[in-house]
Amino acid sequence: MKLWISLFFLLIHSLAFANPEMIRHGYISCKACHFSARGSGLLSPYGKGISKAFSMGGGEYKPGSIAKAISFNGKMAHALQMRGAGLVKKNPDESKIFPMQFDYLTRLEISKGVSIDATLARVPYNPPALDHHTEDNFATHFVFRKATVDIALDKKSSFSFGRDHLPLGIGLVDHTTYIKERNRMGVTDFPTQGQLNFWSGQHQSTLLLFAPSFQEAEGNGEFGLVAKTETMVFKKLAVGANILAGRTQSIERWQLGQFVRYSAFSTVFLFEFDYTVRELRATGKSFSQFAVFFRPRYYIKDYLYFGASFEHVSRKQQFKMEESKYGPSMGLKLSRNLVLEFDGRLTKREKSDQKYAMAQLYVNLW
Amino acid sequence: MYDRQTPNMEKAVKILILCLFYGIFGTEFSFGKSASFKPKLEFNVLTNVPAVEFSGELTGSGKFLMNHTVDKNGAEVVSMESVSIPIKSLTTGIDMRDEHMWDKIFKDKAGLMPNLELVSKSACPIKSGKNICQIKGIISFAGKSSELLAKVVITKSEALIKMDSNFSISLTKMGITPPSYMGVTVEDNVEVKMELESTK
Repeated sequence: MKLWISLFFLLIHSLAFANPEMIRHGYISCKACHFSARGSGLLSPYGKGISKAFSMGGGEYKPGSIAKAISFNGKMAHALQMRGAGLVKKNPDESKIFPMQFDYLTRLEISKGVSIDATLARVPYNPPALDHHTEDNFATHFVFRKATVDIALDKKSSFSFGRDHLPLGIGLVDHTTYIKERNRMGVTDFPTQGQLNFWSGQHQSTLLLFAPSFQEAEGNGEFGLVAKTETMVFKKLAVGANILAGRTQSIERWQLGQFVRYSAFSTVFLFEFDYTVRELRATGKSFSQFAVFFRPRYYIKDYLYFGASFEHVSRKQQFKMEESKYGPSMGLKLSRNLVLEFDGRLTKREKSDQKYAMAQLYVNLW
Repeated sequence: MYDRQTPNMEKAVKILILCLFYGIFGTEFSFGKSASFKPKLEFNVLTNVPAVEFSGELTGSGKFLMNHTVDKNGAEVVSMESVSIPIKSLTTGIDMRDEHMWDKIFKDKAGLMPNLELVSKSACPIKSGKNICQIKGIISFAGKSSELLAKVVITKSEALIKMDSNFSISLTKMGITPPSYMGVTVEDNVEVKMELESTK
């Protein structure tokens, strides 16, 4: 059951295909390949070229006639992102193949430097994530992961307003990682926000205020602020930090995160450490938590990697718990539109262990 | 065996070993007075998209000729005489980007890629410690040439002589249109950093 809950969060909160591993080519800023300064989502034409060059087929990206026609001279961009997964567990009854994600992404340039970005996702009906009274109907299967107005302030900064994910840490895709899921703890990951973004070839930072997106379960709407910065301190070594302060009806939380991205010898190392303190507003009692994430990946080719992931989360005081998760990974970028990833995970809890292997196929039509 | 050799023989053996060593790595060298020679060359490219900048380096072979002499008054002089680099020795870490760079910047009208050449007659008098001087030279690639001014810092210690130079190459002055790819256009000036170090 816990696994399914995790997978649900992976599904509903995932903004797939952001790639912190691009540090291996010296790219620190997401803006290098994405329209959005915060990464994920639609690729710029240059990003599509890079994506194609790093795929198994390689070669030059040349937009086809349909892509040209629906882009209206570059004023619009579209993409479909789909993800299917196969899950193997010890109990064969729990092993399944299932669709995980179906998103439509679009961007419309209204005038020079002003654009609207939106991501509409098809999601499964899940009452606990909505409120407890909403019935299953057509509308409950769709959610806007993103709906923002972006205004370029100059070549190196922008302001955007609307619904978007919180830009914490190294920007992982997988929302089941402890640094994401256990820090969030049921609070939605795509609040309404006003954000200032700054970037260059050596630096990126974000400052934002956020408020509920009115899609959260009752009591989970959160108000707060986030500041994040990341700098290339040395060739292919980027160091960053973020702070978050948030408040819901029942909880206040403060989070401090530090993260490192480093690449050498065709290997990328991602490391993140988050320390969170929560206070129950009703009682004034607080409890702390830290989560650690480490992921080395060795790229045999730009399109093929083997790696591993190690995670640990520890919570103190009245919600005391310890949990670790680790396992091997591999990925193969078959083409610009097709990625195959495999993850094996062993989760160790205080009283039980859980093993599973998951293969995912990403299909990105963009 | 060694203690029977003359000092000149020892020096010759050392130079031969070093020649073999650098031969393995494909870099030829020449240096008037000392034995070992380590070239390092990096370049940094900015674009019209601030998030997209990249660097490249010398990963293959190259010929570097630096001269270190003592004039009749006993003063030491170092000069960077010539550099010759096969274009495919310059790489950026992404194969396709390398091919674009070689093709759009370094190919001449005949479709060939002559070596990047740097020739200079400037000489810098040096003393122990840090010496700063300006050198003039001619840089050539893609069948075109341009004058080059470089700031050079030469550090002389008992064990080594190190020459650090920084200069900028203007593509338009070379008669090359800065290339574009998918909306990303390379800026006109390419910053180059070259380090040559000799150990005695």
